[in-house]
Amino acid sequence: MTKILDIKNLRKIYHTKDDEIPAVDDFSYSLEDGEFISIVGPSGCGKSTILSILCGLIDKSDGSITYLNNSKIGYMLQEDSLFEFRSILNNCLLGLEINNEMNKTNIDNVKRLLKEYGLEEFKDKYPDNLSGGMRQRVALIRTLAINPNILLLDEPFSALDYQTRLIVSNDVYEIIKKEKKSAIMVTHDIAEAVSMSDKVIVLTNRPCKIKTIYDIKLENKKNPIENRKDPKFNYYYEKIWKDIDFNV
Amino acid sequence: MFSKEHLLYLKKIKQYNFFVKLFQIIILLFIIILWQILSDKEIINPFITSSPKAIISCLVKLKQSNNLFIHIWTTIYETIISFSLGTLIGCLIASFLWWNKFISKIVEPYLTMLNSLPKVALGPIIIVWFGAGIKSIIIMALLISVIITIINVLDGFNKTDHNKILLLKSLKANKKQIFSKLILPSNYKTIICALKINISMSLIGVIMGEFLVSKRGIGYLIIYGSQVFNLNLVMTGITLLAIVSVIMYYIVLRIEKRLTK
Ligand SMILES: Nc1ncnc2c1ncn2[C@@H]1O[C@H](COP(=O)(O)OP(=O)(O)O)[C@@H](O)[C@H]1O
Ligand SMILES: [Mg+2]
Repeated sequence: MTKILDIKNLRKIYHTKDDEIPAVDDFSYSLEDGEFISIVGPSGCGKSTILSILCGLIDKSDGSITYLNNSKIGYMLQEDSLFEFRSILNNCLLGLEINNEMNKTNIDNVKRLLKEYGLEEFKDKYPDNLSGGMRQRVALIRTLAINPNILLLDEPFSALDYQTRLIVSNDVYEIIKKEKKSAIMVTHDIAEAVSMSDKVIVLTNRPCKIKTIYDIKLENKKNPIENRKDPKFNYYYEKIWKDIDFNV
Repeated sequence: MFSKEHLLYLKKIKQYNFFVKLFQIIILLFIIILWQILSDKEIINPFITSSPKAIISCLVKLKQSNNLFIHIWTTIYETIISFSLGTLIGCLIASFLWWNKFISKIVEPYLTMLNSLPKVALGPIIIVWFGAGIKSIIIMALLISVIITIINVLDGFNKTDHNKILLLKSLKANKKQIFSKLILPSNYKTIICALKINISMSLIGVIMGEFLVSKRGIGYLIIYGSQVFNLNLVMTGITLLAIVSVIMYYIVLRIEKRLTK
């Protein structure tokens, strides 16, 4: 396996008027091509901070991040943030427009993605006409449009209701696997993490450090919905559950 | 096509709207007729309250002396100029202030102060600076519409969904792209709303200006009438103003409907 992203001793301290807030104390990880990892931890421990640093939205305080083999990041947030004044297709083309990459190959690729993932008939419609689950799939295609090889997903399904969430996470997983992307997903849902990931990283309370890394070895790995029925699913679920210091 | 119940429902809505219109017209006619009768019977003093008939004959006289449309047109013309300039300048300054947070922060208290200052108080200074002419009138109206436009549009710009800005940043958008792809289009409605407010603001400003300096325009008719104690002329001016403002408001409303479709 080839390494595509190397994070070493990442640290982040936020500065505000009243206080210094250490958010990330020490985070290191080497991501391999095609790997799907999840980061779980108590709320407010610094998970979103790590992703924001990785995609360059905020500056790190210390440590190093190295992208290997021309890796490119795509970022997907909890809110789909679709522009209601743009059609679905134009929403998906946003990244290409911004980066001046509106060539035929790229546009055709977006159209292919829309078609392949069941959104072709909506491509000229506006976001208002779509359900929450569909909107999230559009957001994923918008992220995929710029051809990233690493996806950062920050609680991507939290805004959805439970049923939709299962289905959409399953869809998103299959899309990511089919398009051969690597992913780092932040979630607070342990079941989601275990059912989707190759590895689950448990973080300590803020300022976060890596507490444990779980290598998820299910008996029969399929898709997230099926994985939930795997004999070893509960084993991992409980182990991780006990490992997280929930602040209630 | 539709079921019987639905047709009935539509009919009811139609009837309802019809009655609303009907009563609006009845009230207007009632006021006009009552006004006329009261002044005919001298229950109210026709010299200071004027009367519908006197207003009409005043309009005819103005028309005969070829002045009516000059006055109306002058006011409309001044309003349109200050309305367009006010909206344009206001939006440009708001964009600039969105772009430059530092300067925005600096001018914030000044904007608030200018906004709460009654602009009519600046009238005498404006006349001294810009002369007793159309320039002063337009500047007066501009002052009123520009400040409120800046405040409203800037507020809309600053309230743009933070997550969408974050999304654009994650796609490596620069500030210009954030403005053109998100801030401007998502504040389309704010800007249209500013148009609607500005048409009234400009008219207020223009009439105020005409009170102070003009030789023409509806505001001039009103102030001149009161100076020579010709209340018929004053009432005629007010009537014209009411009609002009309603027509202009409806035109903007029409434009709004077109643009937001
Ligand atoms: N811009 C910021 N300024 C100051 N503190 C922040 C900022 N963003 C996040 N924090 C703080 O850093 C901590 C970690 O935040 P975050 O990474 O969003 O947590 P998580 O995603 O794990 O819930 C929180 O305590 C939060 O209050
Ligand atoms: Mg978070």
